Amino acid sequence: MSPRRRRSNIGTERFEPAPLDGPLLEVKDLKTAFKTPRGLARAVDGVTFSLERGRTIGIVGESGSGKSVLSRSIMGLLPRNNIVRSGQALLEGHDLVTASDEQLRALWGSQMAMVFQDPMTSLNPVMKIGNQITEVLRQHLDITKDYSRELALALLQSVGIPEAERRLNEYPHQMSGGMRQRVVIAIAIACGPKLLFADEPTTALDVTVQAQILDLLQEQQRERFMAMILVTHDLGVVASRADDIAVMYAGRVVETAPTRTLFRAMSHPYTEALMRSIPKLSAPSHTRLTAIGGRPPDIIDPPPGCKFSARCPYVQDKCRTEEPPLLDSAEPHHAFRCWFPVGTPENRAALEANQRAGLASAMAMMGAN
Amino acid sequence: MAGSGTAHLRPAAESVLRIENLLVEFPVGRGGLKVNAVTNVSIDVLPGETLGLVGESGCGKSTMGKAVMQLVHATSGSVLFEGKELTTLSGSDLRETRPKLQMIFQDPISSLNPRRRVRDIVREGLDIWKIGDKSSRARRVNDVLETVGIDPAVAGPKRPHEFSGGQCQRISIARAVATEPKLIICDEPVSALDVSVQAQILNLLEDMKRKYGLTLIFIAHDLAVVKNVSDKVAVMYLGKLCEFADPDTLYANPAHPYTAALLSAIPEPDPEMAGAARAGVGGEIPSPLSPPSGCRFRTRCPAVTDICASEEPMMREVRPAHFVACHHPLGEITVAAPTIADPGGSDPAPAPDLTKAGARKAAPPAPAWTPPVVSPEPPVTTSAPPRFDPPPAPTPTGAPTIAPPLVPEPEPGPIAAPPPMPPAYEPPPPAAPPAYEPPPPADSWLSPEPTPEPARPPIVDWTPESTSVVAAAQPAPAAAPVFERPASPPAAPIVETPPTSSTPEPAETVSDLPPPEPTPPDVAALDTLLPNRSKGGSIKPEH
Repeated sequence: MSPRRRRSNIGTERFEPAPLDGPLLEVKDLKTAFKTPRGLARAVDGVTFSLERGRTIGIVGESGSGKSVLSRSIMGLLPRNNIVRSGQALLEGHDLVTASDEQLRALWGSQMAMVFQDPMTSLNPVMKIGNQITEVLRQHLDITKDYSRELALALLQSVGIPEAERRLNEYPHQMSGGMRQRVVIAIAIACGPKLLFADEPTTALDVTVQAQILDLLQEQQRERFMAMILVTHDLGVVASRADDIAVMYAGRVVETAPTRTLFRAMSHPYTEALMRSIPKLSAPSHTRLTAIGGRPPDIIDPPPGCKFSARCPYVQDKCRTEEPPLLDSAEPHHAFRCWFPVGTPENRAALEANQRAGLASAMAMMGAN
Repeated sequence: MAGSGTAHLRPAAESVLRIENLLVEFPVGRGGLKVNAVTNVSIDVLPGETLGLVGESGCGKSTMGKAVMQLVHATSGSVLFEGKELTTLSGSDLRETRPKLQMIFQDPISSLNPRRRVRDIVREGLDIWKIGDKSSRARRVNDVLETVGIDPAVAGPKRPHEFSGGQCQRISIARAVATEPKLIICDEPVSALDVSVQAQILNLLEDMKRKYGLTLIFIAHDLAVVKNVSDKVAVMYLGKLCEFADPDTLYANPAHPYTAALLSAIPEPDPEMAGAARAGVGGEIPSPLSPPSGCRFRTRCPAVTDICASEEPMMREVRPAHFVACHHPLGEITVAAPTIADPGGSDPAPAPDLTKAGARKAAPPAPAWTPPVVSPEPPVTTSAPPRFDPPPAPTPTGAPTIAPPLVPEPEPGPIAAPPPMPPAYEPPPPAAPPAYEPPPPADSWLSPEPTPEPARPPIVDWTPESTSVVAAAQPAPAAAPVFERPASPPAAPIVETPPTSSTPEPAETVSDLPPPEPTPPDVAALDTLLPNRSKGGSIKPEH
């Protein structure tokens, strides 16, 4: 268990090689709750999705929607204390939820890896870049020091770091944020993981650097045939980079669809509201944004019914009492949780009724449409 | 870019704030080094106007805001606020002026004193200036809190930690407007907030502006946000002003290559547009310790020519009320053959220049990674050019003299296709230049479908190339499919092709890439980067 003894533990406990068909990752009804003095905070509340090899799923939501906790609990990075986990997360058929620490440690880096949000803090400030890369290589591969250094050099070059040789001997503080994020990516892909988590990988970066890093991730993913879970709050980022999108709200997936379907036929009011609240370049200056009023619900003691009902412009009595299940839409692979999905006659009727009743969120929609 | 000049300023009498040739430098260490945070920037704001200030981090936009507030001292230049010169004001006079200038900071939580109650925080300015009596101050506090959407009765006695980021930002705004300022400087007020909250705050700022007749300087790095709130937009790069125009003009027809690059880097929330106008800009912002000579953007600019290194562009009007500091503004068909002879780029149109730049970059295969990244180590200014433009050709200083040697270069240069850019990575050089090709209907930067056709091939060009890190360089394949990530559910095909032990083949199914065979490239080492995979999917390699 102790990380100091890692060499002796490596490879002692492992999964059998998995068959290569079927999805790479299958998450089934995954729940993660934190024990707090007030009760259980259900950060992830029954999430189900599957991810094919080489594909990218984008997980989108506001802060507090549980998207980061989701990726961390799939990867098993959350502490063991004060956490209740249930459900399954099957990586090639092996359950990550019940996996032991040793099993997980064998998987981290070699089968799945994570790129964190803040490149300033996810690198060790007192270790040279080169050592941080060779560390993961030597941990997982039985190779010599010299060879691991060669690999590290090749990795740095492949993530587009100029003068890679010199950079190997530098410390993180000597590099810019974008360069650091490239190093983090190099470390993450060092052992050729099959699954890459990117948790807000560009939130701390400038737009131009963001574009570079996203291109790099996409390129590496394609080259190495990795599956990627791209967690972000920016619909713009996932629009161009993800094959599928899952929109999370209050710990649940409220809508999931292939990217184009989602943007073409979004059905959940929350997805729609998120889209509307983004300032668009194509819109003229001083276009009034449709903000989502209110705040996300309390995840410790959530209200009954649809979790978005308190902020929804289309809310009806049914929504306040009965929680909608994840319903399939007419489009393939498109599912959403809503009784009055956007774009349907019922939805329009609901909006009109709410506007007549003077519901604030519905009134705000009047100018928008 | 990197422009100086005051051509874009409007008559002094009309403006609330007029900054002329502002220079802010910070000394570094003892060696006499200086960070050129803001260099000769001139800008003005009319009453009731919102000026958006955009740029990457490190471009000096926040320093500008602080220099207006006199929170940092200008090395030279003038800041005229309502006709009063602020840079030379004495301490007490400055204090008198400050209630009319307010600031809203990026991090709403840390900009509020955690130990004070909300109503005291908001009232502080009124107390200091003894505006009104006690009860009228209390009323004023309740008023502003209510206008920002916070219930004064509930929130007044609470402390900042009891509020979310968005609410704290509302309180900051309430505090800022309490003293009835003329000008508010918003320094990245929404970049710490969620999109939904961001929309609330942006709407709120518009409301406050209308209600209190405010003039705003809105500093942000998000161009979409800036467009939404601004009446004028100023784009900054490395301490200099690049472009100044109305947002609608600027975003539709960016004239400065940097603006265009910034715009193309924005991820639009629309998959149909994805990848369409993606040209971006390579590299990173150079060190402000020793900024490049001439135009400061030249190290990353796809349209760079010799004149850019030798001569700094001045702000000039390319369209009515659209000012740009660039020698080769985009969308300008006839470059008015500027000052120094540029016989090399004899054709004035930007296109030849571009190809020339492209040729120069592509020509020498030797320095594998040529592009512009300036690393922390400060290059001496004069030695910079060779570093950025691979060929030793441009030796600046005598501008006219350097022109001749450069002429021959472009001609033999292999222009369009630089396929043998070995495993060097770095997409930008090949990709960028053609992307910048003369966009006479410059809207193409924004609109997806129309023109970017020319932009695509090069992009695709490097894609297979960079796959060559694992596989050998391939003859550039059919272009488009690469970026068209199938939205269709290709679940089935993927399952069909078992990603067998040999690594990257399956990529084919993901994106219609031609199978990047893991054939032995020169970079043999990289093959082994995926050792597990070649072990047939065993999860743990043997120890």
